[in-house]
Formats: sequence, C-alpha cells, structure tokens
Amino acid sequence: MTLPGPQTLLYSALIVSVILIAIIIFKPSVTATQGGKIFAFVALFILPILGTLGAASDQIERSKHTAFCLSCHIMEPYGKSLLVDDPLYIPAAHFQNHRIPADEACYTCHTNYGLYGDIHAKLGGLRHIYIQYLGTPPAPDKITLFTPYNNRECLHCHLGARSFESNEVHKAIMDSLKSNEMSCVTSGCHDMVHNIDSLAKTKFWSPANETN
Amino acid sequence: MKPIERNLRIAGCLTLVGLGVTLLSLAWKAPLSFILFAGVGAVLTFAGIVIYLYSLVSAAGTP
Repeated sequence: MTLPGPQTLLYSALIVSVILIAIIIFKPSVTATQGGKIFAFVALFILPILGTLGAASDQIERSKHTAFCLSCHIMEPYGKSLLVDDPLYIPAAHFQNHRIPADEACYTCHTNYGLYGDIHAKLGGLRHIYIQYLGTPPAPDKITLFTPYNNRECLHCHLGARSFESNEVHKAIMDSLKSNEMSCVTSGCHDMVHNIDSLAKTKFWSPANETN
Repeated sequence: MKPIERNLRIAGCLTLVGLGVTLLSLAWKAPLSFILFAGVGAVLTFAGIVIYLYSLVSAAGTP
C-alpha cells in the first residue's frame, strides 16, 4: 500500500477546507460553542493557509518543468532545438543524453545558481509572462538573455568533473572561466547553443527512431 | 443574525471563492495559472482570513 502523494494531500486539504467553510457559511451558529470556535479556526485559518502555501509550492515546482516553458508558442523553436542531431549543439547534447533532467531541462540551465537564484529565476519568469501577455514579445530569433550567460551555471555541474578538469584547454583557462572573464558559450568554444535561426538546415533526432 | 455571524459568512464566502480559484489554478496547467492563483485565489483567501481574524477581534472587544 502506497501513501498518498503530496499533490493528492494538497487537493484533499483544499477540498476538505471548502466543505468545512461551506458548513460555516450555511450555519454560522455552529461557531457559538467552544468546539465550534475551534472548528471555525481550523476551517477559516489553518486549512486555508496550509492549502495556499501548498498550492504556491506546487505552482512553483510546476514552473520548472520543460513542458511548462515550452507551452508558450514563442518557445516552440527553442524546444525544437533540444532535438537537433548534432553533438556540438550544447542544449541538445545535454538534453538528449540526460546530462540534465529532461523534464526540467530549461530550468536546470536557465536558473541562477546564486544565493537567491531561485527567486531571481521566478521573478524573471513573471517578467516573461508580462511581456508575453501585456508587452510586445520579440520574434523567437530576437529573444536574448536579460544578462549574459554566467559561467557559474555551467560550472555548477562541470566543476569537479573528471572529464572537464582533465581537459588541457580547460586547465589552461580555468581561472578565466571561474571569474567569467572568458565565457563558456561566447568565446568560440561552445558557441552552438539554441541557434534557432539555423534550425531549418539541421537534422533532428527522434527518440522513436532509436527504439525501432 | 449577530454581527460576528455575518462577518463569518463574509469571511467564509471570500475564503471559499479564493480556495475554489486556487483549485482551478492547480487544474489548469499553463503559465497564466500562476497569475490566477497569486492574483485572485491567494488574494481572496487572504482577504477572507483577515476578515475572520477581524471578526474575532471585534467580537472580543464588545462587552
């Protein structure tokens, strides 16, 4: 027998809360007794707060999923770029070989691994929503990062890894990489990122083909 | 109806609608669902909680 998952518990808490509140709305006199006052406190304070916090956590976790990012039409070419059949394309090579979690591919690379990185990433997401629905979104190939890509996001995984550290080129420029003096993705070494303006000329990998 | 019962009903209605919107936002998997949750659901729920707490304080204050 498995325990109910967190989402099931969250939905259950919200539904129970709704039912209890409905009782208070239709019969507020139940709160006249001491037991009724405790009942009202649970129904109108404890459960709504717990439910709202749980819902907020669920919403934030959901926003990390690849499908969430790609649900906006403007991101379609970027999603396609994850399937480019060319190991030089950095996002495609990471995604197809599960070097990053496939279901959180966008978030893994585009979050900020600083102290308040998660919050920065989420605020950036709100800005995206604002531009998408209230602003003028640029064409997909005109989208640029708000700030230059920080090597920290690459080094978060690669630093300390044997293949990275033993590479002679990396050894020679390690200090420059760590200090962001030389960028991982714009210095001529790993510059093939999403490159969506060249997608029409590229070949794509299909997971279905590999299983046949 | 006593004032506190009226306030409890108002608080209950606001919180009920807020939680209902929250449930709806969880069922809708889209970026705007977070805006619906944060801008409508959480705000209504918070307003209901505040009115409930106010009703407790104002009832305690009356002799």
